[in-house]
Amino acid sequence: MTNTNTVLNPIPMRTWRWLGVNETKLTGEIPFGKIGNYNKKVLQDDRAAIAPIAQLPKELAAYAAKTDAVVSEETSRLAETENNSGYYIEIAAGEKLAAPIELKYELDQENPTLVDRHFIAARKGSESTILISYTGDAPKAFHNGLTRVYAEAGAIVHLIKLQLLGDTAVHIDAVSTYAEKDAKIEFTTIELGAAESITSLKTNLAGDQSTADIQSIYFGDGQRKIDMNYVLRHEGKQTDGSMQVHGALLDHSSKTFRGTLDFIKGTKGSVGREAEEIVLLSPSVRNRSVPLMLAGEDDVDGHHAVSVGKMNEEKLFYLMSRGLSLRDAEKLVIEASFQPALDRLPDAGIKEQISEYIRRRLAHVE
Amino acid sequence: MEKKKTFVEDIERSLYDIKNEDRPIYKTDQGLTEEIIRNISREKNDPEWMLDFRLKSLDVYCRTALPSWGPSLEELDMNQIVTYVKPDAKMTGNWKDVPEDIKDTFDRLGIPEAEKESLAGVGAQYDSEVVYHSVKQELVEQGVIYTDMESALREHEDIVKEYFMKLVPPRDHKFTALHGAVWSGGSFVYVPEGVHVDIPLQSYFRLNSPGAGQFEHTLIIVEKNASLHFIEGCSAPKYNVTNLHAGCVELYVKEGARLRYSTIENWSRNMLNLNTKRALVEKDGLIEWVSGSFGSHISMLYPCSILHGERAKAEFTGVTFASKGQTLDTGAAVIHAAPHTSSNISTRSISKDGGIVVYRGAIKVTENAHHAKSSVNCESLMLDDRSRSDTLPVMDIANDEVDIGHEAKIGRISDEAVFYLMSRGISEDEAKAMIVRGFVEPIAKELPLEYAVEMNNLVNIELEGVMG
Repeated sequence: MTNTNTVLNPIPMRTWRWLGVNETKLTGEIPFGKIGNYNKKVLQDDRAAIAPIAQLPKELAAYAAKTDAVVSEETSRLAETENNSGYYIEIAAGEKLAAPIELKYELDQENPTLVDRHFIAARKGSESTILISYTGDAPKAFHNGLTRVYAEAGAIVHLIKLQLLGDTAVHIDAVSTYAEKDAKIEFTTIELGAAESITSLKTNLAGDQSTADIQSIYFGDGQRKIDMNYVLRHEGKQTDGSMQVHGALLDHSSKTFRGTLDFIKGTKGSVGREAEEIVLLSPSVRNRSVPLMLAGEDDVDGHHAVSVGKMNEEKLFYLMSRGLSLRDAEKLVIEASFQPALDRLPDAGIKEQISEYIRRRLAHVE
Repeated sequence: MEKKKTFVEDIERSLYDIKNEDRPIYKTDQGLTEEIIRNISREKNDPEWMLDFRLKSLDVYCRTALPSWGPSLEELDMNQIVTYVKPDAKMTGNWKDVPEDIKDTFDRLGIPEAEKESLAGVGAQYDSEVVYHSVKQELVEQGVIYTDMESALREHEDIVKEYFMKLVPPRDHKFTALHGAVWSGGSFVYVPEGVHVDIPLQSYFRLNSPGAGQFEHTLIIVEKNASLHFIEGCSAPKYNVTNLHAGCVELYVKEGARLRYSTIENWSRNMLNLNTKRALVEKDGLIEWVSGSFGSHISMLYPCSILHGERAKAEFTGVTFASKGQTLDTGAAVIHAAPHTSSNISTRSISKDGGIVVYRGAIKVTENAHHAKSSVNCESLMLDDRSRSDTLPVMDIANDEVDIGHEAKIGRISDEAVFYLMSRGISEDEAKAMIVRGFVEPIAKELPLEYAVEMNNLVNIELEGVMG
């Protein structure tokens, strides 16, 4: 399998080639067939509900088939066949987890390559939070992940992905979720690291009255490249989807965000909301935003909005009237815009760690 | 209880569907070969450089693939298309000299009437050639040139050579290459520095011949501090074979100049409308597009404004209405290539009875275009669940001093709005009609009166049943 031509994050509906948003390609290499071991401790506690991914029950194959559409077929196959870590997590029917399940991956000198595959089965009426974090500053680290989430009727599942990899890392991560009737998927992503970060999210609101609530923040600095492909598919009746994305770009960073609201014929009474707000802080950044809205059903209420560049002048004016410089006021506004996503982190320690990290990164902005 | 749908009537098409006998004086064979190109060029008395240009374009056409995006164009078989149909009529400046049946067609479409009442000049193209052109004497005295492209090529060869297909080069895509090879007819407008053409000029394009293509070229140059309003209308009767329209519009808006370009496109439902329009706007210039897309089987039309000089501005106002059997893939693109440029795009789309509308757009801001401002607003109204409405905008921003906003909405006629109007004593039928009229109002008010009236025919609402 060759590397350089692997098409990643294809857009659901193609447009003009000169815009360069139909797909992306990786500058670095995907080490097909060369995945070493990952030997570090991942689980933070021993719970019976968590088993290695190899023990995924056969009967869940049907569930896996419903969680499709990811970064690319090749990278998914890599995660399926060459994974060196991964877990099957089952939350029993009616079980409400008091504490989140935490999976920590730290890519260091000895473990610079991670290919992880996870399957989360949230049984009927269960409630759970799963936090998966990727950290570590191993040079040339490589991560390729695939996480599937299946929420049975009435289940509430909150998946948090936190990415704080080093500045030379490649991060490819696909998340695919499926919601049955009355189920709720919450998804929080915090994309702060890696040289190249290519991520996808597919959420299928298949059941009637199912809901999805997506909060995502990204931060680009240095030469960082960020590519995101999020699809929220409304299939059941009276589904409710929301996708809120906040980002800041500085230095020579570049970012493409494709966010799609897809209303399938028959998804009557559904509501979809998508918003992306981007703050640009350096003259040589590159921002591409592609909000798609596809509708085969008239009885829907769809709305998307993108705002690039300009901050809320009233907020800035207020802060400056309290003695802050324009730049400091801007930094504060950025931090505030990240807050809704950060507030969803279960642990105050992590929240403070991330806030501090962002403050440090913003410090050199003049 | 099942919700009843408001019934919005199709556009009354009988006026456009009048067919004349197809009796050209010259017609090329079907298809596209070097020989056909040479024949067209000979028939049109092209200068040598134009023949070369056509042949090079043909070469580009043959080497260029169909677009990898957008609606399928599989049904297009260039071997079945007649690219040049010369009507049995000489170009004239006197309406009386236009042949009777052709004259009747334009009379019914109201063209000469409009000239008398509200236009400063009129051009009428029938199949591949312009059959009538006239312009008010006082404009001629001010140095305004408004003529057909063929006359322009003979009488103002230097200007045409300087500008022709420089803004939209044949290499752009397959259908601009096709246009470069087989173009015929169209209008040429030149407005000298400081001249304000206060009343609009209008060109009307009519395709009568079945299985033919129309490839008119419109070239407009508005010099420094001058202004112009140009109106373009298109229609054709319905045939059972595919007709093709691959026109090209190049607009040069110089420093401080203003140009408003209004189009009402009402091609018949067997037409593939693959048109390319582009404007180059210099410092302090303004381009305003007003675009109504109602006809054709498939349309791919995205007027593009290149804001090349500081403080150049673009405004785009468009309405697209797709009904049964139609895929109307339309939109707008703006390239901000200079500081302090601004753009404003506002579109309304309606789809019904299985029609598909797509809004496809692009806002590109280059590295040097600091303080660029852009605002895009797209609203789509779906009248049933057999139709489709897709929105696909792209923003590509390469500097940090910008203010870019985009907003889009999809939905149907809101029950709350209908209830509210009914609570004020308005009948349900009228309430729904008011809402649809209100929906297209921002566009209608930008149109010249006669076109606004035409568009109101759209919003003839009949109602069945009761509220769901």
